[in-house]
Amino acid sequence: MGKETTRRGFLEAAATTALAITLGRKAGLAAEAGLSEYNWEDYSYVYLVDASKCIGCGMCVQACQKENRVPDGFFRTWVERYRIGEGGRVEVDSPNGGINGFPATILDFKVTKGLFVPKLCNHCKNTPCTQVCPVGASYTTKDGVVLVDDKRCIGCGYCVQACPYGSRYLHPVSHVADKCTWCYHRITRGLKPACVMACPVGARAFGNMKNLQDPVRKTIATQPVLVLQPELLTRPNCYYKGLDKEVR
Amino acid sequence: MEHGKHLARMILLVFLVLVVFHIVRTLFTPSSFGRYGHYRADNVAEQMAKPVAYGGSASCEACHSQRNAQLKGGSHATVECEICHAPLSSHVVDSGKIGEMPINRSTMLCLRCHERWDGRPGKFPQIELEEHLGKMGAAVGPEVCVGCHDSHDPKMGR
Ligand code: SF4
Ligand code: SF4
Repeated sequence: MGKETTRRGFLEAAATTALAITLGRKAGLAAEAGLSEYNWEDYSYVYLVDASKCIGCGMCVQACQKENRVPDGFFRTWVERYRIGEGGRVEVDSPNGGINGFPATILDFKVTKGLFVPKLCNHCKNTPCTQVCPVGASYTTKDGVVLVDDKRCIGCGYCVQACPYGSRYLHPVSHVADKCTWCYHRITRGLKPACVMACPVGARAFGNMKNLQDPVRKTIATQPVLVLQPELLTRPNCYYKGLDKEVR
Repeated sequence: MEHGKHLARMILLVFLVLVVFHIVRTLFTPSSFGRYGHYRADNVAEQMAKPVAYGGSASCEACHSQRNAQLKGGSHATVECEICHAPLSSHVVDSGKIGEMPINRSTMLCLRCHERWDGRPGKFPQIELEEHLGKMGAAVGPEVCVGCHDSHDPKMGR
Protein backbone atom coordinates (compact mmCIF):
# COMPACT_ATOMS: atom_id res chain seq x y z
CA MET A 1 0.00 0.00 0.00
CA GLY A 2 1.56 3.29 -1.14
CA LYS A 3 1.97 6.26 1.14
CA GLU A 4 -0.32 8.37 -1.04
CA THR A 5 -3.21 5.91 -0.81
CA THR A 6 -2.79 5.72 2.92
CA ARG A 7 -2.88 9.44 3.32
CA ARG A 8 -5.85 9.87 1.02
CA GLY A 9 -7.72 7.14 2.85
CA PHE A 10 -6.98 8.78 6.12
CA LEU A 11 -8.02 12.22 4.95
CA GLU A 12 -11.31 10.76 3.77
CA ALA A 13 -11.85 9.27 7.19
CA ALA A 14 -10.88 12.56 8.84
CA ALA A 15 -13.26 14.51 6.60
CA THR A 16 -16.09 12.15 7.52
CA THR A 17 -15.32 12.72 11.17
CA ALA A 18 -15.22 16.48 10.73
CA LEU A 19 -18.60 16.34 9.06
CA ALA A 20 -20.01 14.17 11.84
CA ILE A 21 -18.78 16.70 14.35
CA THR A 22 -20.11 19.72 12.49
CA LEU A 23 -23.50 18.06 12.38
CA GLY A 24 -23.08 16.93 15.96
CA ARG A 25 -23.68 18.77 19.18
CA LYS A 26 -20.25 19.92 20.24
CA ALA A 27 -19.59 22.91 17.98
CA GLY A 28 -18.99 25.35 20.84
CA LEU A 29 -15.49 24.18 21.69
CA ALA A 30 -12.51 26.45 21.29
CA ALA A 31 -10.32 23.87 19.54
CA GLU A 32 -12.77 22.23 17.15
CA ALA A 33 -11.47 23.75 13.93
CA GLY A 34 -8.23 21.76 13.55
CA LEU A 35 -9.74 18.30 13.13
CA SER A 36 -10.32 18.30 9.37
CA GLU A 37 -6.67 19.22 8.79
CA TYR A 38 -5.33 16.55 11.08
CA ASN A 39 -2.71 14.37 9.43
CA TRP A 40 -1.33 11.56 11.54
CA GLU A 41 1.89 11.39 9.56
CA ASP A 42 2.92 14.64 11.29
CA TYR A 43 2.78 13.22 14.81
CA SER A 44 4.56 10.71 16.98
CA TYR A 45 3.20 11.19 20.46
CA VAL A 46 5.11 10.89 23.69
CA TYR A 47 4.18 11.33 27.35
CA LEU A 48 6.36 12.55 30.19
CA VAL A 49 5.66 12.16 33.91
CA ASP A 50 7.73 14.09 36.45
CA ALA A 51 7.15 12.17 39.67
CA SER A 52 9.15 14.71 41.67
CA LYS A 53 6.46 17.31 40.95
CA CYS A 54 3.35 15.22 41.62
CA ILE A 55 1.46 16.18 44.79
CA GLY A 56 -1.01 13.28 44.62
CA CYS A 57 -4.12 15.45 44.39
CA GLY A 58 -5.71 13.00 41.94
CA MET A 59 -7.27 15.73 39.79
CA CYS A 60 -5.87 13.88 36.76
CA VAL A 61 -7.68 10.65 37.68
CA GLN A 62 -10.92 12.55 38.20
CA ALA A 63 -10.58 14.40 34.87
CA CYS A 64 -9.86 11.13 33.05
CA GLN A 65 -12.93 9.51 34.54
CA LYS A 66 -15.19 12.38 33.49
CA GLU A 67 -13.65 12.89 30.06
CA ASN A 68 -13.72 9.23 29.11
CA ARG A 69 -16.69 8.02 31.18
CA VAL A 70 -14.50 5.50 32.96
CA PRO A 71 -16.72 3.29 35.16
CA ASP A 72 -16.41 3.58 38.95
CA GLY A 73 -13.64 1.46 40.39
CA PHE A 74 -11.77 1.17 37.06
CA PHE A 75 -8.92 3.39 35.91
CA ARG A 76 -7.31 4.44 32.68
CA THR A 77 -4.85 6.42 34.77
CA TRP A 78 -4.15 6.23 38.48
CA VAL A 79 -1.68 7.57 41.03
CA GLU A 80 0.41 5.44 43.39
CA ARG A 81 1.94 6.70 46.63
CA TYR A 82 5.32 5.29 47.68
CA ARG A 83 6.42 5.86 51.25
CA ILE A 84 9.90 4.60 51.98
CA GLY A 85 11.70 4.32 55.31
CA GLU A 86 15.16 3.30 56.38
CA GLY A 87 16.01 -0.40 56.34
CA GLY A 88 13.99 -1.10 53.21
CA ARG A 89 10.50 -0.43 54.59
CA VAL A 90 8.17 0.47 51.72
CA GLU A 91 4.46 1.19 51.81
CA VAL A 92 2.62 1.57 48.49
CA ASP A 93 -1.02 2.56 48.24
CA SER A 94 -3.47 3.89 45.69
CA PRO A 95 -6.88 4.12 47.36
CA ASN A 96 -9.48 4.13 44.57
CA GLY A 97 -6.71 5.03 42.13
CA GLY A 98 -6.13 8.26 44.05
CA ILE A 99 -9.25 9.78 42.50
CA ASN A 100 -10.10 11.59 45.75
CA GLY A 101 -6.53 12.18 46.84
CA PHE A 102 -4.84 10.23 49.63
CA PRO A 103 -5.55 9.88 53.36
CA ALA A 104 -2.96 11.50 55.59
CA THR A 105 -2.41 8.17 57.40
CA ILE A 106 0.53 7.77 59.76
CA LEU A 107 2.69 4.68 59.26
CA ASP A 108 4.43 2.65 61.95
CA PHE A 109 7.82 3.58 60.53
CA LYS A 110 9.47 6.90 59.90
CA VAL A 111 9.10 7.89 56.28
CA THR A 112 12.43 9.19 55.03
CA LYS A 113 11.37 9.72 51.44
CA GLY A 114 8.17 9.50 49.52
CA LEU A 115 6.76 10.13 46.12
CA PHE A 116 3.59 10.01 44.07
CA VAL A 117 3.77 8.20 40.75
CA PRO A 118 1.09 8.77 38.11
CA LYS A 119 0.55 5.69 35.93
CA LEU A 120 -1.23 5.06 32.64
CA CYS A 121 -0.89 2.98 29.50
CA ASN A 122 2.67 3.36 28.22
CA HIS A 123 1.60 3.14 24.56
CA CYS A 124 4.51 0.74 24.06
CA LYS A 125 6.29 0.65 20.72
CA ASN A 126 6.77 -3.10 21.04
CA THR A 127 3.50 -3.91 22.64
CA PRO A 128 2.46 -7.34 23.89
CA CYS A 129 -1.21 -6.32 24.15
CA THR A 130 -1.85 -5.86 20.42
CA GLN A 131 0.25 -8.92 19.55
CA VAL A 132 -2.03 -11.28 21.46
CA CYS A 133 -5.33 -9.90 20.15
CA PRO A 134 -6.92 -12.66 18.06
CA VAL A 135 -9.28 -10.39 16.09
CA GLY A 136 -7.22 -7.25 15.40
CA ALA A 137 -9.21 -5.14 17.87
CA SER A 138 -6.12 -3.77 19.63
CA TYR A 139 -3.85 -1.82 17.34
CA THR A 140 -1.35 1.01 17.07
CA THR A 141 -2.16 4.12 15.05
CA LYS A 142 0.37 5.78 12.72
CA ASP A 143 0.86 8.53 15.29
CA GLY A 144 1.83 5.98 17.93
CA VAL A 145 -1.32 5.53 20.01
CA VAL A 146 -2.46 2.07 21.13
CA LEU A 147 -6.24 1.84 20.78
CA VAL A 148 -9.02 -0.71 21.24
CA ASP A 149 -11.78 -1.04 18.65
CA ASP A 150 -14.78 -1.62 20.90
CA LYS A 151 -16.91 -2.87 18.00
CA ARG A 152 -14.39 -5.56 17.15
CA CYS A 153 -13.22 -6.61 20.60
CA ILE A 154 -14.71 -9.94 21.69
CA GLY A 155 -13.81 -9.42 25.35
CA CYS A 156 -11.53 -12.45 25.61
CA GLY A 157 -9.24 -10.56 27.99
CA TYR A 158 -5.94 -11.82 26.52
CA CYS A 159 -4.62 -8.26 26.24
CA VAL A 160 -5.56 -7.51 29.84
CA GLN A 161 -3.36 -10.42 30.88
CA ALA A 162 -0.61 -9.59 28.40
CA CYS A 163 -0.07 -6.02 29.57
CA PRO A 164 2.67 -6.10 32.20
CA TYR A 165 1.69 -2.67 33.53
CA GLY A 166 -1.92 -3.40 34.46
CA SER A 167 -3.12 -0.67 32.11
CA ARG A 168 -6.18 -2.51 30.77
CA TYR A 169 -9.47 -3.70 32.18
CA LEU A 170 -12.63 -5.31 30.86
CA HIS A 171 -15.42 -2.76 30.86
CA PRO A 172 -18.11 -3.98 33.28
CA VAL A 173 -21.00 -2.87 31.03
CA SER A 174 -19.78 -3.30 27.45
CA HIS A 175 -17.56 -6.31 28.35
CA VAL A 176 -14.82 -5.20 25.97
CA ALA A 177 -11.23 -4.23 26.76
CA ASP A 178 -10.71 -0.61 27.70
CA LYS A 179 -7.68 1.51 28.47
CA CYS A 180 -6.09 4.94 28.11
CA THR A 181 -6.29 6.38 24.58
CA TRP A 182 -4.16 9.43 25.43
CA CYS A 183 -7.55 11.08 24.81
CA TYR A 184 -7.30 10.41 21.07
CA HIS A 185 -10.45 12.52 20.51
CA ARG A 186 -8.73 15.48 22.19
CA ILE A 187 -5.18 15.24 20.86
CA THR A 188 -6.38 14.99 17.25
CA ARG A 189 -8.23 18.28 17.86
CA GLY A 190 -5.06 19.93 19.17
CA LEU A 191 -6.08 19.65 22.84
CA LYS A 192 -4.01 18.06 25.60
CA PRO A 193 -5.12 14.77 27.14
CA ALA A 194 -7.52 15.53 30.02
CA CYS A 195 -5.03 14.36 32.70
CA VAL A 196 -2.29 16.66 31.37
CA MET A 197 -4.70 19.60 31.27
CA ALA A 198 -5.94 18.84 34.80
CA CYS A 199 -2.57 18.63 36.55
CA PRO A 200 -2.02 21.85 38.53
CA VAL A 201 1.73 21.35 38.96
CA GLY A 202 2.84 20.21 35.50
CA ALA A 203 3.71 16.67 36.60
CA ARG A 204 2.25 15.35 33.34
CA ALA A 205 3.28 16.55 29.88
CA PHE A 206 2.42 15.48 26.36
CA GLY A 207 4.49 16.04 23.26
CA ASN A 208 5.21 15.22 19.64
CA MET A 209 8.56 13.68 18.73
CA LYS A 210 8.17 14.83 15.12
CA ASN A 211 8.17 18.50 16.19
CA LEU A 212 11.79 19.56 16.60
CA GLN A 213 10.76 22.45 18.87
CA ASP A 214 8.65 20.33 21.19
CA PRO A 215 9.57 20.91 24.88
CA VAL A 216 8.87 17.28 25.86
CA ARG A 217 11.04 16.01 23.03
CA LYS A 218 13.79 18.38 24.25
CA THR A 219 13.50 17.15 27.83
CA ILE A 220 13.75 13.52 26.73
CA ALA A 221 16.75 14.35 24.56
CA THR A 222 18.66 16.38 27.14
CA GLN A 223 17.70 15.16 30.63
CA PRO A 224 17.88 11.83 32.47
CA VAL A 225 14.63 9.95 31.94
CA LEU A 226 13.49 6.40 32.62
CA VAL A 227 10.77 4.05 31.45
CA LEU A 228 8.92 1.56 33.65
CA GLN A 229 10.28 -1.99 33.61
CA PRO A 230 12.71 -1.50 30.68
CA GLU A 231 13.82 -5.14 31.06
CA LEU A 232 10.53 -6.22 29.45
CA LEU A 233 11.61 -4.61 26.15
CA THR A 234 8.15 -3.16 25.56
CA ARG A 235 9.76 0.19 24.64
CA PRO A 236 7.23 2.49 26.33
CA ASN A 237 6.38 5.90 24.89
CA CYS A 238 5.79 7.17 28.45
CA TYR A 239 8.92 8.53 30.06
CA TYR A 240 9.49 9.26 33.74
CA LYS A 241 11.60 11.75 35.65
CA GLY A 242 12.23 11.64 39.38
CA LEU A 243 11.57 7.93 39.97
CA ASP A 244 12.91 5.82 42.82
CA LYS A 245 14.24 2.26 42.53
CA GLU A 246 11.21 1.04 44.48
CA VAL A 247 8.83 2.06 41.69
CA ARG A 248 7.68 -0.81 39.48
CA MET B 1 -11.69 -44.85 -13.62
CA GLU B 2 -13.00 -45.03 -10.07
CA HIS B 3 -9.85 -43.21 -8.87
CA GLY B 4 -10.37 -40.41 -11.35
CA LYS B 5 -13.91 -39.82 -10.06
CA HIS B 6 -12.70 -39.72 -6.49
CA LEU B 7 -10.02 -37.22 -7.39
CA ALA B 8 -12.51 -35.01 -9.19
CA ARG B 9 -14.84 -35.11 -6.19
CA MET B 10 -11.99 -34.26 -3.84
CA ILE B 11 -10.95 -31.28 -5.95
CA LEU B 12 -14.54 -30.08 -6.16
CA LEU B 13 -14.92 -30.40 -2.40
CA VAL B 14 -11.73 -28.48 -1.68
CA PHE B 15 -12.82 -25.82 -4.14
CA LEU B 16 -16.25 -25.51 -2.51
CA VAL B 17 -14.71 -25.26 0.95
CA LEU B 18 -12.44 -22.48 -0.30
CA VAL B 19 -15.36 -20.61 -1.87
CA VAL B 20 -17.45 -20.89 1.29
CA PHE B 21 -14.49 -19.80 3.41
CA HIS B 22 -13.95 -16.79 1.16
CA ILE B 23 -17.62 -15.79 1.29
CA VAL B 24 -17.81 -16.13 5.07
CA ARG B 25 -14.56 -14.23 5.50
CA THR B 26 -15.73 -11.39 3.29
CA LEU B 27 -19.03 -11.27 5.17
CA PHE B 28 -17.35 -11.05 8.56
CA THR B 29 -14.43 -8.76 7.72
CA PRO B 30 -15.38 -5.08 7.92
CA SER B 31 -14.68 -3.26 4.66
CA SER B 32 -12.07 -0.94 6.15
CA PHE B 33 -10.13 -3.76 7.83
CA GLY B 34 -6.50 -3.79 6.74
CA ARG B 35 -6.44 -0.38 5.08
CA TYR B 36 -3.64 0.83 7.37
CA GLY B 37 -2.75 -2.35 9.21
CA HIS B 38 -4.28 -5.36 10.91
CA TYR B 39 -7.26 -3.44 12.25
CA ARG B 40 -10.49 -1.72 11.23
CA ALA B 41 -9.45 1.67 9.81
CA ASP B 42 -12.86 3.23 10.45
CA ASN B 43 -12.26 2.90 14.18
CA VAL B 44 -9.66 5.68 14.00
CA ALA B 45 -12.32 8.15 12.85
CA GLU B 46 -14.73 6.79 15.46
CA GLN B 47 -12.17 7.39 18.20
CA MET B 48 -11.55 10.93 16.94
CA ALA B 49 -15.27 11.70 16.87
CA LYS B 50 -15.84 11.02 20.59
CA PRO B 51 -17.21 14.07 22.40
CA VAL B 52 -14.89 16.36 24.35
CA ALA B 53 -15.86 17.12 27.97
CA TYR B 54 -13.13 19.48 29.17
CA GLY B 55 -12.71 22.60 27.06
CA GLY B 56 -9.81 24.21 28.94
CA SER B 57 -9.68 27.78 30.22
CA ALA B 58 -9.63 29.12 26.64
CA SER B 59 -13.26 28.00 26.38
CA CYS B 60 -14.19 29.86 29.61
CA GLU B 61 -12.53 33.05 28.41
CA ALA B 62 -15.41 34.02 26.09
CA CYS B 63 -17.81 34.67 29.01
CA HIS B 64 -15.53 34.86 32.07
CA SER B 65 -12.54 36.89 30.91
CA GLN B 66 -12.30 38.88 34.16
CA ARG B 67 -12.23 35.79 36.33
CA ASN B 68 -9.70 34.25 33.99
CA ALA B 69 -7.46 37.30 34.24
CA GLN B 70 -7.68 37.24 38.05
CA LEU B 71 -6.84 33.51 38.09
CA LYS B 72 -3.92 33.86 35.69
CA GLY B 73 -2.47 36.70 37.78
CA GLY B 74 -2.46 34.73 41.03
CA SER B 75 -0.78 31.69 42.53
CA HIS B 76 -3.51 29.38 41.19
CA ALA B 77 -2.64 30.32 37.60
CA THR B 78 -1.93 26.69 36.67
CA VAL B 79 -5.18 25.39 38.15
CA GLU B 80 -7.70 24.92 35.34
CA CYS B 81 -11.21 26.32 35.98
CA GLU B 82 -12.94 23.00 35.27
CA ILE B 83 -10.85 21.14 37.83
CA CYS B 84 -12.52 22.79 40.83
CA HIS B 85 -15.80 23.40 38.98
CA ALA B 86 -16.87 20.72 36.45
CA PRO B 87 -16.32 19.83 32.79
CA LEU B 88 -17.47 22.45 30.29
CA SER B 89 -19.80 19.92 28.65
CA SER B 90 -22.09 20.03 31.72
CA HIS B 91 -22.39 23.82 31.44
CA VAL B 92 -22.21 24.89 27.78
CA VAL B 93 -23.12 23.06 24.56
CA ASP B 94 -23.13 24.76 21.15
CA SER B 95 -22.26 28.08 22.84
CA GLY B 96 -25.52 27.83 24.79
CA LYS B 97 -25.78 27.39 28.53
CA ILE B 98 -27.31 24.06 29.50
CA GLY B 99 -26.63 23.99 33.23
CA GLU B 100 -25.14 25.79 36.21
CA MET B 101 -21.43 25.42 36.90
CA PRO B 102 -21.08 23.88 40.36
CA ILE B 103 -19.11 25.90 42.91
CA ASN B 104 -17.20 23.70 45.34
CA ARG B 105 -16.15 25.63 48.46
CA SER B 106 -15.34 22.60 50.55
CA THR B 107 -12.30 22.38 52.79
CA MET B 108 -11.76 18.86 51.44
CA LEU B 109 -11.18 20.23 47.94
CA CYS B 110 -8.43 22.56 49.19
CA LEU B 111 -6.84 19.83 51.28
CA ARG B 112 -6.47 17.55 48.27
CA CYS B 113 -3.58 19.73 47.25
CA HIS B 114 -2.55 21.54 50.43
CA GLU B 115 -2.76 19.11 53.35
CA ARG B 116 0.66 17.97 54.57
CA TRP B 117 1.19 14.40 53.38
CA ASP B 118 4.24 12.17 53.51
CA GLY B 119 5.57 12.04 49.98
CA ARG B 120 4.48 15.50 48.86
CA PRO B 121 7.32 17.56 47.39
CA GLY B 122 8.60 19.64 50.35
CA LYS B 123 8.52 22.99 48.60
CA PHE B 124 4.85 22.72 47.68
CA PRO B 125 2.66 24.88 50.02
CA GLN B 126 1.16 22.52 52.60
CA ILE B 127 -0.55 22.92 55.95
CA GLU B 128 -1.66 20.91 58.90
CA LEU B 129 -5.23 22.11 59.05
CA GLU B 130 -5.73 22.30 62.81
CA GLU B 131 -2.38 23.90 63.41
CA HIS B 132 -2.92 26.39 60.58
CA LEU B 133 -6.41 27.33 61.78
CA GLY B 134 -5.24 27.43 65.40
CA LYS B 135 -2.85 30.23 64.50
CA MET B 136 -5.81 32.20 63.15
CA GLY B 137 -8.02 31.35 66.11
CA ALA B 138 -10.47 29.54 63.81
CA ALA B 139 -12.10 26.12 64.14
CA VAL B 140 -12.20 23.40 61.47
CA GLY B 141 -15.30 23.76 59.30
CA PRO B 142 -16.61 22.35 56.04
CA GLU B 143 -15.95 25.59 54.11
CA VAL B 144 -13.42 27.26 56.37
CA CYS B 145 -10.60 27.93 53.82
CA VAL B 146 -12.59 30.25 51.56
CA GLY B 147 -13.51 32.38 54.58
CA CYS B 148 -10.05 33.95 54.29
CA HIS B 149 -8.66 32.86 50.90
CA ASP B 150 -10.12 33.81 47.52
CA SER B 151 -9.77 30.57 45.51
CA HIS B 152 -9.13 32.55 42.33
CA ASP B 153 -6.22 34.43 43.91
CA PRO B 154 -5.47 32.68 47.20
CA LYS B 155 -2.24 34.29 48.37
CA MET B 156 -2.92 36.45 51.46
CA GLY B 157 -1.62 39.96 52.00
CA ARG B 158 -1.12 40.88 48.37
S1 SF4 C 1 1.16 -0.34 28.74
FE1 SF4 C 1 0.05 -2.28 28.47
S2 SF4 C 1 -1.84 -1.71 27.38
FE2 SF4 C 1 -0.41 0.00 27.15
S3 SF4 C 1 0.65 -0.41 25.17
FE3 SF4 C 1 1.95 -1.26 26.83
S4 SF4 C 1 1.31 -3.40 26.96
FE4 SF4 C 1 -0.32 -2.34 25.83
S1 SF4 D 1 -3.04 16.12 38.85
FE1 SF4 D 1 -0.80 16.24 38.73
S2 SF4 D 1 -0.14 16.57 40.86
FE2 SF4 D 1 -2.28 15.88 40.96
S3 SF4 D 1 -2.08 13.63 41.20
FE3 SF4 D 1 -2.28 14.00 39.00
S4 SF4 D 1 -0.16 14.12 38.25
FE4 SF4 D 1 -0.07 14.34 40.49
